[in-house]
Amino acid sequence: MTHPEALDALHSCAGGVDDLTEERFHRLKGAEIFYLGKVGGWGHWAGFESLEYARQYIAALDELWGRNLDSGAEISCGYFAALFTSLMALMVFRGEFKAAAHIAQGLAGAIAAKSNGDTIEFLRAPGEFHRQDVFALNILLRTSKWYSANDELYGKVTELAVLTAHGQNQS
Amino acid sequence: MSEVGFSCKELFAFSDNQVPLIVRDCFVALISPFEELFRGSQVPSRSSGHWSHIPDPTREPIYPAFSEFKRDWLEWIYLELKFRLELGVRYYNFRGERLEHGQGPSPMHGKEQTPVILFLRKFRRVETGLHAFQNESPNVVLREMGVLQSAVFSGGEGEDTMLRGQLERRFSSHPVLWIANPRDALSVSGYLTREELSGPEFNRNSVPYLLSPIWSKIQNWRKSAEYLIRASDAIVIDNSSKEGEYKRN
Repeated sequence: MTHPEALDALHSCAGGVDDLTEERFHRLKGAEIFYLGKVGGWGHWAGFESLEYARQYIAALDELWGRNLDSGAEISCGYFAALFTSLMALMVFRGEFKAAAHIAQGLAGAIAAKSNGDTIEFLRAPGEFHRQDVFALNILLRTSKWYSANDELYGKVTELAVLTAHGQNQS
Repeated sequence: MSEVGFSCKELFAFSDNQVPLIVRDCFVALISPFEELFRGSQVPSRSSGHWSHIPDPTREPIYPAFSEFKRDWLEWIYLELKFRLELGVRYYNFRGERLEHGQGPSPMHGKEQTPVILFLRKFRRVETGLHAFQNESPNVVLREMGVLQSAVFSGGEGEDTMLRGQLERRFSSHPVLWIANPRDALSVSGYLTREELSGPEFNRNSVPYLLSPIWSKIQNWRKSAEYLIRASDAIVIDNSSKEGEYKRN
């Protein structure tokens, strides 16, 4: 259990929910907006450790996809692609472009391998972030759409493509 | 012969264990049937290929009691990721607009900004179905019971969320910032404005910031919290906790 220690000492205007009325807004302390720019960014949103567990997520899902889920009609390929897409977008969103690119490369490779009936090597060893990683990311999105063309669940993640594009622009 | 450990219990054993519990349990549930195919829950490395590590083809993994469980597990994972993305975007849009307004000439500049309210609460404890079966194997519980998730509150069920919802509704035109624990489940942090198939929704002015409680490579979490306080016009504290986590001035 964690809590924001000693925060109450910073400002005297802190109060309970019922203490805040419209009238009190007239004598607010006044926000120092520039402090918002100092707040830790993407990495702080979910912690850098997300990179590590994301790798394990993907590795585990990879095995499931290749072995268990293929034989289970209850999980649609589109749904799985949607999950991959959202996870990868999450990585991009967190600024973990390298991990996102690896995921993208892996999924693109996996899809290509599966289409040839081959077994797949999903996760690659960490390397440098290259331009081709961005291309792989595009492949991921296109392929996910292809897999999910008739799957209503894909509608839930199409909005995430915007995020991914934003991540690419930042990179 | 190299082997890769594939223990569900250790999959998420990181120093700060920031995986939301429901996500962890769902992954454990998804992985466990596969894990059981291998002797001693050890998956041989892909490069080894030794015959003794090839799973017995006649051995069938034990699947969950209901096939719908698999779908549910994926949906939980998906739902949590979806909320994290959506709310993250909301926070960074809010942040961007505020900063843009504060910096020189822009379409936003000169327009009066709506005061920002910061809602501070005690981080609640989120439990999943496994908590009730401490002496049982997680794999067995997940297989037979599926996955459940609940938030445990010291000051009454859902009180912090209800208070936040009350605040958000009362000041619906004001952004209400609040700090979330990364291990918390955002998928059960919404105020139930209306029930939908997709679960609880967040009020439009609800703006969470997910704060890592451990020392970040970028910034001490307390520093981040302090900056959020300084950037807010009003601070409201949910002091309903009888344990006195927060003090009021």
